[in-house]
Amino acid sequence: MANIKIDGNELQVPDGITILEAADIAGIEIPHFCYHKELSIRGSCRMCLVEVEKTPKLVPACSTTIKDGMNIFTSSEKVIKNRKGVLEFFLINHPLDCPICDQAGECTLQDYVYKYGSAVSRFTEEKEHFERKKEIGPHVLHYSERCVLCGRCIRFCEEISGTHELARFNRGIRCEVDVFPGKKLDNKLSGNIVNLCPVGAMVSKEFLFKSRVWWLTHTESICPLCSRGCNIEIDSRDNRILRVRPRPNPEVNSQWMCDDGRFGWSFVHREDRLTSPLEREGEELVPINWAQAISLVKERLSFIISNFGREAVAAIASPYLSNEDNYLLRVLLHSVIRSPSMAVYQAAQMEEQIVFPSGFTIEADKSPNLVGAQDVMTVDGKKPISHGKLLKKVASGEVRALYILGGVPRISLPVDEREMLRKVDFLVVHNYAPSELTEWAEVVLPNLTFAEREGTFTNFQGRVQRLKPALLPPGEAKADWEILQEVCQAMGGEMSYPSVEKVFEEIAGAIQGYKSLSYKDLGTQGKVKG
Amino acid sequence: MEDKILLKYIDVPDIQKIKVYQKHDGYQGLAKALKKHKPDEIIELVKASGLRGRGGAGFPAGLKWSFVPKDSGKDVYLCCNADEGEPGTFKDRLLMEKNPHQLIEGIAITAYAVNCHQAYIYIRGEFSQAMKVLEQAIAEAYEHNYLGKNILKQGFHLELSLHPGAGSYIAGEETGLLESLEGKRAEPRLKPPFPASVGLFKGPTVINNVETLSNVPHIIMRGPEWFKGFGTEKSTGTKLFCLSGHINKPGVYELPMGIPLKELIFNYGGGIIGGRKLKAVIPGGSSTPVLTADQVDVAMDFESIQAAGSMLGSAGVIVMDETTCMVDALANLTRFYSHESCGQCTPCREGVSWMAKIVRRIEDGKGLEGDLELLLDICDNISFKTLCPMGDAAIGPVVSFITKFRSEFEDHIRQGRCPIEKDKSIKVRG
Repeated sequence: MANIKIDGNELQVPDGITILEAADIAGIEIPHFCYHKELSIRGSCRMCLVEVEKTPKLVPACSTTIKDGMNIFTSSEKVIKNRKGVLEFFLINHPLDCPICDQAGECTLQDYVYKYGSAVSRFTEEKEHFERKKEIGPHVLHYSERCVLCGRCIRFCEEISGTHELARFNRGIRCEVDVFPGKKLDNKLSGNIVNLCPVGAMVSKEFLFKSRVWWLTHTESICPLCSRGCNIEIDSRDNRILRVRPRPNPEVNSQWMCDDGRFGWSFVHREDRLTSPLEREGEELVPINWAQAISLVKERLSFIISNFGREAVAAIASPYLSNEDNYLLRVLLHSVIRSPSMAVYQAAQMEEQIVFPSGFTIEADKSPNLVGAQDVMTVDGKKPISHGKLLKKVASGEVRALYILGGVPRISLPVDEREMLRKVDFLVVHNYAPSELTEWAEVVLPNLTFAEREGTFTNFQGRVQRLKPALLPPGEAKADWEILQEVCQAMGGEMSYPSVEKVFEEIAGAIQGYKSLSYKDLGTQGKVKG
Repeated sequence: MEDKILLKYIDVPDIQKIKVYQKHDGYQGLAKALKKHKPDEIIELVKASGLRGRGGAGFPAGLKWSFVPKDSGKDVYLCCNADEGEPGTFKDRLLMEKNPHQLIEGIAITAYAVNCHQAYIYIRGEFSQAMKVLEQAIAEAYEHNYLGKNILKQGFHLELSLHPGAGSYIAGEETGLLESLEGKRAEPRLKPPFPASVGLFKGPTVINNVETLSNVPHIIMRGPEWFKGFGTEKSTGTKLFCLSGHINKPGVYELPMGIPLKELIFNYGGGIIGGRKLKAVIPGGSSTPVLTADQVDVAMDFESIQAAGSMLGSAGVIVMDETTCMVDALANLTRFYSHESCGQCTPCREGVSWMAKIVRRIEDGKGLEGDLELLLDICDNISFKTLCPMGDAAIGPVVSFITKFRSEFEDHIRQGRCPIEKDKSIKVRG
């Protein structure tokens, strides 16, 4: 440990950290552009220069290691003048097009200029001009004129994605970031560059001109598109998602997310979202109300139970739905109907795992909650069977009624599995849109996507993380656990869960590994199960 | 007494050929170093000679070598900085074109001293003639076993590669040079770590100027005391002075350190063209602060010039006579620095180009009241705040030109035109 002084505050900090990190511990902001926690240190923006006693020159806080007895001044006259100077330098050629810049409102340059800069410009020359809105990749647009040349994007492509598409070209005032000739910024992590950019130089093609950022509602949630469960923020407006960004979680996704997750949420706004329960009439599915739907399910299940026995009713849990949803399916089968025929839909989508040089990994399993679904469907240490095995029981006539939780964004069932679904006497499916699963269903109950959902996913590491609803459900669609609770009650069950939290409490009491967890304590970063 | 070290044999026909070089004591220094001295002794000899870097900063060479860690476990590199690009400087090219073996020998001895087995000459891309000569000389040196394996059967081996520069001023800044040598853009690195500990390919690295290294064989051969017989107490040896500008006999002159500037200009340089009046001198390459005509009594050594408010730098002496418009000259210099800024660090990239635009505007008769205060404040915002020394190199002329020739700048602004009657025979690109 080293004893240092920052702006008169004496504190003890670990050896070997930088002035910037020490100031952070002391709660003192040192403005900076090129420094980024996850990237190598470049020291080129010169914004973070601070004064150190007995050192004649200002030193960069980002790269200067603290020494015992160091006396640091972060707002001395010299430091303040430098900040003003650097900001003025940035602004002389900056277009000041904030009113039409996507970054306005969350722009580091804008914020720093308000805080540390000068209100008037001394620059009377012609500004430098560059090509605007250059398409450098499928997701990213580059506005060179707004660039502060911090080089974060370049270092990201070198150090995190390892894809090396970007570099600085030309010198001096004509220096600009661009893709190498013949290359495109086309890698699975390219969207992160938009977030890394402290200004509006790298902007998202998808989000361009969609909204001023201050109109957005931010919801902390979890990406549902692979088993890593990157921590995300859903930015929405008027009940529509406008963009998704990663939230830092060092245990899961560092500061990043992949483009599959970042841009893969369009299914939420599918035109054909299911908005009311549906009943099959011949080839058609016709809308009914919830009371009708629940009593229909009750009637048909009861019929099967009384004619073929409890075990003739089976259920398939979904790795795309939350622990709470799947747990209620278990309650229905295990506690209310008392049938042991429970499976988890498995290996829905497996793609090649992608590991980047930084260690960031896109998982092969494209479902967000396989671990959790299996956990909550495990009864007395007996693991659920695979859905394939269960479908064989359907083929043999052992199973007559099938209750399937869907929620799968992209699915393709093998032909034989699809054919087996035809054989069931009664098929009820929860889903948010028509799919191969709903094709033969007698009753379809409209559920929610991740964006409307509350609850927990357990990622591939066993980290239990909370989803929060960013949008209101479309029409009469409901959360699966709510639907299942109504079915349970209709079937004679006496359980009552007023909230997801109550369901989670019961999971914590009943499921191996979840005992030490409480819903509130999961917080925004999640907790690893025991 | 002999008065030359480096240029002593410059006029010997075919001195570029190894046979001729050998006849003029060639490679005797290397033989002596390998056979009679341990590497540490070489460092001590060079320290004792007082040899200081000739690239501009004047850092003691032996001391620099002693910073190389002995036990890093990594390969040590030696880079000869032959990216001579400071305007007004043209001495290294001469040394390479005229006496390449002297440099190669100096490199071999230095490599031996710092336990380096791979050395590079990073040579300015435009120096095609020097490259041709060096390539030939390096091949000869390999043939005669002054380079390669088991040099002179003394168990020391050294590979020497010639690397053409990538065409920018900033590639001559030592860490920019290292980046360029590694195949990247010549963008200077943040220091620390210094190249002596983390340099080329992350190995300990010594970077020395052509002129510095060319002195080494002579120091080893004749001893530090002999070397100290040249120059002043703290600036030992001779110096190659590059005379250019409004002078009758421009060229490279090897003279002992400490020679008065006046003597250099008027005796050796033959005075000002057309008998006109001297107006100003840049003493050490374009980045060093300008001196006025009444400062020319200064002695040309590191300490004396520093005392006069400038720097010896690369000893590129640029002489300007009364027909020179100082605003025009400064516009030319700032344009150069603006063009050569690598662009990675903010004050240099933005500030230098801004200054260039303002100075150009003043020269074009569109100067505004307050421009000079603005320029000086921009300089203050660059001064000691950039990542590498180029920011300070760029403001050196601006601050000194404005301070020393302020009235001329004010005349431009007040009259809205350039009031100087220029020598039209000299063309300056705008």
